[in-house]
Amino acid sequence: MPRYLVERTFPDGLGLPTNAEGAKGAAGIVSNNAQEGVTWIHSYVTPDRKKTYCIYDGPTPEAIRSVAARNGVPVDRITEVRVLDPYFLY
Amino acid sequence: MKLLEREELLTSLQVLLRNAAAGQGALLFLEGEAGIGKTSLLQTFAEAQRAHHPVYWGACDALQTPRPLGPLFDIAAQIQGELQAALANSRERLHIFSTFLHELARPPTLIVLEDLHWADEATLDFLRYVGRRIGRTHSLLIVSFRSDEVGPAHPLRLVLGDLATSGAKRASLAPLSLTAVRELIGAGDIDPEELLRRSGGNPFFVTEVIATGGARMPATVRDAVLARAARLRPSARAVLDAAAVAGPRIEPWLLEEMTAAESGWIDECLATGVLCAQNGVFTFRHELAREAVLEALTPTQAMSLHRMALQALQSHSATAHDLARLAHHAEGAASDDDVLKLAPAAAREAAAKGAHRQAAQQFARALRFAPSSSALRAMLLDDYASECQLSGMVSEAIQARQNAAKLWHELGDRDKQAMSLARLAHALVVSGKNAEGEATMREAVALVPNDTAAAAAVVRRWAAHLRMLDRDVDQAIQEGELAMAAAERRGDQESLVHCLNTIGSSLIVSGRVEEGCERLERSREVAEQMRSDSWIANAYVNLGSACGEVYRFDLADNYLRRGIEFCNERDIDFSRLYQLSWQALVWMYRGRWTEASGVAHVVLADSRSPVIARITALVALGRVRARRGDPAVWEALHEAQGLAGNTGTLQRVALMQAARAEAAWFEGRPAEAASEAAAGLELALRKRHRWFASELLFWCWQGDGSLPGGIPEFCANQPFAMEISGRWQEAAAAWRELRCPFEAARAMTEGDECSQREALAVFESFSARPMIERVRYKLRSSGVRGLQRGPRESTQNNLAGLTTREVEVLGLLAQGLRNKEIGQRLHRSSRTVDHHLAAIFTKLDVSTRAEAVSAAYRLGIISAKTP
Repeated sequence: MPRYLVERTFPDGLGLPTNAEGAKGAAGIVSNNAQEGVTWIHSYVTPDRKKTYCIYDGPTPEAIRSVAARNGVPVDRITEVRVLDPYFLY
Repeated sequence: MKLLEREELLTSLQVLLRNAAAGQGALLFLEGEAGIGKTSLLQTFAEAQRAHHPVYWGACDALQTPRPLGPLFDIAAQIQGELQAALANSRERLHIFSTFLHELARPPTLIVLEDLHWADEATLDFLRYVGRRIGRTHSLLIVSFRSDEVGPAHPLRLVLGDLATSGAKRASLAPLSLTAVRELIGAGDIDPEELLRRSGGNPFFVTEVIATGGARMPATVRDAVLARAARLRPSARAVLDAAAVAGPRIEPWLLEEMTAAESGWIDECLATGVLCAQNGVFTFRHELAREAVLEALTPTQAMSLHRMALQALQSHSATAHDLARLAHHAEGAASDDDVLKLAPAAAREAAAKGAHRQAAQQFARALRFAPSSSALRAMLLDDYASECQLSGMVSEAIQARQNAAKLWHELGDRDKQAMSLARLAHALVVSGKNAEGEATMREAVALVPNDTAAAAAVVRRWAAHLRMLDRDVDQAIQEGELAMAAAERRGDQESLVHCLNTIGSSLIVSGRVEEGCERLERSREVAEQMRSDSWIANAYVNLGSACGEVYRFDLADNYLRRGIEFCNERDIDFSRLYQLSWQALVWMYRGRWTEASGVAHVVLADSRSPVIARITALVALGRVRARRGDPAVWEALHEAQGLAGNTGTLQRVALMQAARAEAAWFEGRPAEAASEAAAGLELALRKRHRWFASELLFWCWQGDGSLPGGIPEFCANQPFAMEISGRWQEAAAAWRELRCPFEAARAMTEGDECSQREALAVFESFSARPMIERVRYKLRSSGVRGLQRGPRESTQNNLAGLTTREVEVLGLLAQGLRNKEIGQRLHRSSRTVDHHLAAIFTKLDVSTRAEAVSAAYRLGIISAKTP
């Protein structure tokens, strides 16, 4: 299954708090993703929380967009990526 | 037998049935490996319900070629009344299915269909039909199948996929635990852990081993069955062998006739529990047991038992007409005469019920016995080819048709050879082998120089059809008119329908849209009078695809919607899938990208999709991805190139080359864009196709500024030509008229700052990244300041990335305002409101206004308090 880097912009900052409420939100996202065969691996968030870089496994770019719409998050750009791990060489 | 560890499942079945009784009907798929206890569970449940609700039971049999709608015949015998009459008299599947549904609409019912992994095509279609509609009934339909026999390519998988979206439920049976195995062994001298490991907790395996006393632990469930059978006395074993051949469900009289002197030993088989008596028939305790006994027979034993079964069934009035069952035993008995009589009859019966795959299998069975070099064989090959093509097995159809033509040639029948070749030519073209198809058609035409022969009429109309498909439209119209005149003289309705189709499609493609639609509508009307579903479907296919090809998306959308519905109800899959692929393309042009890519994926995921549907769906998907700036553009467009390149035909090549040119241009490789476009241009100019030629010229010009051969006269008024010659306002207006918002915005990027800004807003509403970046760069280079670098700011806290304006529009939409009214409130044109709505639909992944509003509430973008 291809892996994608998904860039998103949140002009008002990402509204996913690090508490029970946020955990509930994340669980909802995971279950929405599962319906399209999409897995959210993890995300990197800028300190001002206005931009996120998310790593996803999914069958197609359309599946990535579809779950984004269901989860109510924007998509700026989807790029297919591969893992390159510098420590793999040791 | 006691049911162990199934309480939880039984409770959920009860809940489902209770909900069904309250008006929320449901379909449940119950899956598990052979012997896991599906039947035992369902029987226990059914017994408990019988006092409260009617229970109907049907099963599929492990025949090599199952009887079409077998389980429905079982159920009809129990319900009687209308369903039985419908099955006995009606050739129309839709009538049978709707009668069944009508039965379900009555007071709450439990229906069980067992062993659907052996189902015939018609039964699967039935399941699809009922599964989509059962929610509105008061019934629970439970369908069981062996999960280990339903691999990824199994036809039942497609049905499971189709019905997943209609709310069908799934349940599976778990193996027994150690505690349960211990309980079953009781005081017996068997090591429970060893038995659990060997059997994997399979209840049938476990009980078979316990029944043999467990002196030696068998390695497989088959060994366990045979060990138990080996303990029967020889006469009882002979009864068991006969039962295995006669099975899976054995009428008592049949078993008695087959075993004659030994029939007294049936009781011993029942007493030891290898056979059971149930609802007036004998069955093995499990189908696995029957299979094991059957496999242990020697070939001569099996043959003579099949012969006895065949004779007994034929002489008994209740079974003398069950053609599939008779043909099965005839083949088992290796009786040539019987197979050649019974299998073709079974095939025709299956075809009349729409079970074309089973019909093909029965013809294949007859072919295994047909003498070589006989006219009978050639006829069977033609029949087999037709059934294969209808059921989507085009490569088998081609091979059989080739063999038929060869055989007719050897037999010296030139007319029959010519008709086989003409149909072969069409099969080759729809599978993307155009050059071979054309050569075959020339061969066919040369065989029937005499125009008055009936064969000549068939060949001529298929020849005209091929000209239309290859977009030699003038020739197609001319040949079609000639063939039609001859057909009218002979009163040959099918030829008339066919010629009207060919002529109508050609007229639309050549730009005479109204005239063409009128011919195709007439073709459809006559086909309706003839009750020819396949020609009705063909009319819809060509109305939709030809209107789409000349950018009449308003007409195309409407015809495709009706055609898809028509084919859906009758499960005409070849036409349904091709129309879906065109729907994807039409929606792509109309800016409904989410729906377009969704439909394209449906076509691409279906293994039955013909090559021509795959090409169209890949082009639609590739263009949506390219316009969004998403990855995997070339994955789709390379596959399209591989398939379309082989055809060498304008319809496929031009679609594919234009898509590749556009994608290369978006990715900043203009020279490549020009060469991709040039690759299809010569063909489009030669066929004088104004849309394909002007679009390919446009991409040459966008790519490297070239216009090979200039803009020809027949292209001069096309919107693409207006864009090339700098008439951007005219072009934008034309594109808007055609409902192509993306193309309209592209034309406006050639205008002044104001129109460029308007274009930018459209591209932003589509999230069309490559065009957004281009227009921003263009504006900035001409000194415009203050442009947003990233996505537009939204002041409200909404996760969907909607702009402030879009949220405002949603709020007004929620109040039930129409586009015009929204425009008045916001002091914007209703066209601008259209753009906003398109953007909202895309971002929320919805396709209707109501869905948009409910998604907005769900995501908290608007609250109930919004004024």
